[in-house]
Amino acid sequence: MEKEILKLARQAARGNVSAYGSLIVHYQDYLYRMAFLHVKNETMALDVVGDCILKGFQSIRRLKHPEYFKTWITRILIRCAADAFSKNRGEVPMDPAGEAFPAGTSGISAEEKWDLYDAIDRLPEKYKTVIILKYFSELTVREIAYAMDIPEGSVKAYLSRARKELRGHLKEGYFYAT
Amino acid sequence: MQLKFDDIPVSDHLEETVRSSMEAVRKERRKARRKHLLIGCASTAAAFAAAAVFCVANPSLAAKLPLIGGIFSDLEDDFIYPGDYSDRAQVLTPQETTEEVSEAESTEAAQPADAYTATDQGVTITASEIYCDGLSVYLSLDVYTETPLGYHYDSAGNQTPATVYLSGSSYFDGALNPGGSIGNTDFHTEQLDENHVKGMLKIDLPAPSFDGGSVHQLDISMKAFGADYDNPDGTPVSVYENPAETALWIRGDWDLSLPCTIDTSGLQAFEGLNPEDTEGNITDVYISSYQVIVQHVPVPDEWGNPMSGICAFDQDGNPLKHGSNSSPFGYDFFTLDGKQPSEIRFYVISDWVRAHKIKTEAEAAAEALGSCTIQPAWN
Repeated sequence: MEKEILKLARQAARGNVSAYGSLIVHYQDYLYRMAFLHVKNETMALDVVGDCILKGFQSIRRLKHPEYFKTWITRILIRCAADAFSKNRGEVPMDPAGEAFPAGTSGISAEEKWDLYDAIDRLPEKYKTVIILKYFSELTVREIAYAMDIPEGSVKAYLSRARKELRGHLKEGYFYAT
Repeated sequence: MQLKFDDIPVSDHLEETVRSSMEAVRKERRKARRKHLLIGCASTAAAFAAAAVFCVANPSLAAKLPLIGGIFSDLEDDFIYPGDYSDRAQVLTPQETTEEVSEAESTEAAQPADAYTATDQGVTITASEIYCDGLSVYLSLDVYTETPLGYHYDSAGNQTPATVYLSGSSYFDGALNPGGSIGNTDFHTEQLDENHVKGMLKIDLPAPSFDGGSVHQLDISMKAFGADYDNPDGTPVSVYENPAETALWIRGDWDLSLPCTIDTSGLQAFEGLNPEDTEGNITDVYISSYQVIVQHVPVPDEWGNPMSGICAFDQDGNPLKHGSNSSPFGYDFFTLDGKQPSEIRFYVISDWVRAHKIKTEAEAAAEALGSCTIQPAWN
């Protein structure tokens, strides 16, 4: 972890608002993208980020390992996203114009991306979360276990089952595990 | 193909969301601290054992009790030199406990008789916490005034705190502190109610001190307490007889004598940068965890008056904020704003007012009479 970020995390863990704010700004794009992956709606994603920021500070003093601040705030974000998603289930409009995922930068079309994200979205919540954390956030199994507050063995099991379900939804060749 | 997290575009409204959420965090923190301090007031019985009884029996007296400790933690993030003072500060617990007094006697001033508090003209000023970073002393104060203070009102009619002033001087180890006059400092306050204000104050040492752990005496002699506030319709209250027509100006004598321990853990010095003392060049730079002090040889104007000032930029070209508009010529103060820049570049500008207004490094470099770069090392 960068030295300055670690120092900010230590200060934030003691309740320092400025340090917490600096960390949030540092991770804001990450938090938004994570939220968006879960809720697929810009407005809801912004609400999730806002809730996460407030709830994060309310429980900051429980952060025992400041070096894991990113993983810790991810955990809070996941819970906020799950709350928001369950409140708005069935009312979340997908991006009709397909503008959320512009094609070209990663070599697949917007349509293909929508197929992929749609497939991920159809997974049960806990499978969806491990897939997002593993393949989008690139967290390790240990970090995912911490973020989701589950044993590492469960993470591996969820990943395996999630990949199997995704293959069922998608045509072969769209997706591979790295 | 590999999944690309960064392909997800970020909303244009994200920064606004983060800003408003952090504002909500700050508001909640202030509310929580106020509640904590009110609870703490009732339970700080060691020093106010008898007075604690009055919290229940006489709420109006409870409001007069000074806040000891906890002011730094409430104000430090919004102070012009933000940082973590509360973890490092010494809490100035009163030396003598109050004697038990009867309720009949409680109508008179019942302040603890010690060096950390002073009462005159219906105003009680109590020093709460103190910290010294080797360059300046940071002091938190609790001020209670019998004369009620008003409030400012914003365009929506909401109350905002009155502007509070202190005026006086300070002495360091018995000698008058030329750079430590009270009144030119940034007194950052929070108004608790009409009669009660708490604040943070910065008093610069006569010279940087590298004697970590040494204990010194800081005597503060205040001669006036003032405030500006508005009428309920938003127009400023202006009293012709007061200096600068302030709304309130009370003259008196408030003397405090405080122990001051030097903490050099974050102190860095870059000295002897201008051995020939040439005009327009920087001589010394001092850095603590909260501030940067830069000394240079001033460049006089055509009438021989020193006029030059300094602007500073970090390694990314972001300007450092000036901490004071009233520092002596040849000295410039910058707040680190909680950051630890890996490099700071200074530019000497012929007009100090212009130096305070320059926002880009390109402008500064174009107008600079002299410049200097340092690379601080942080723990």
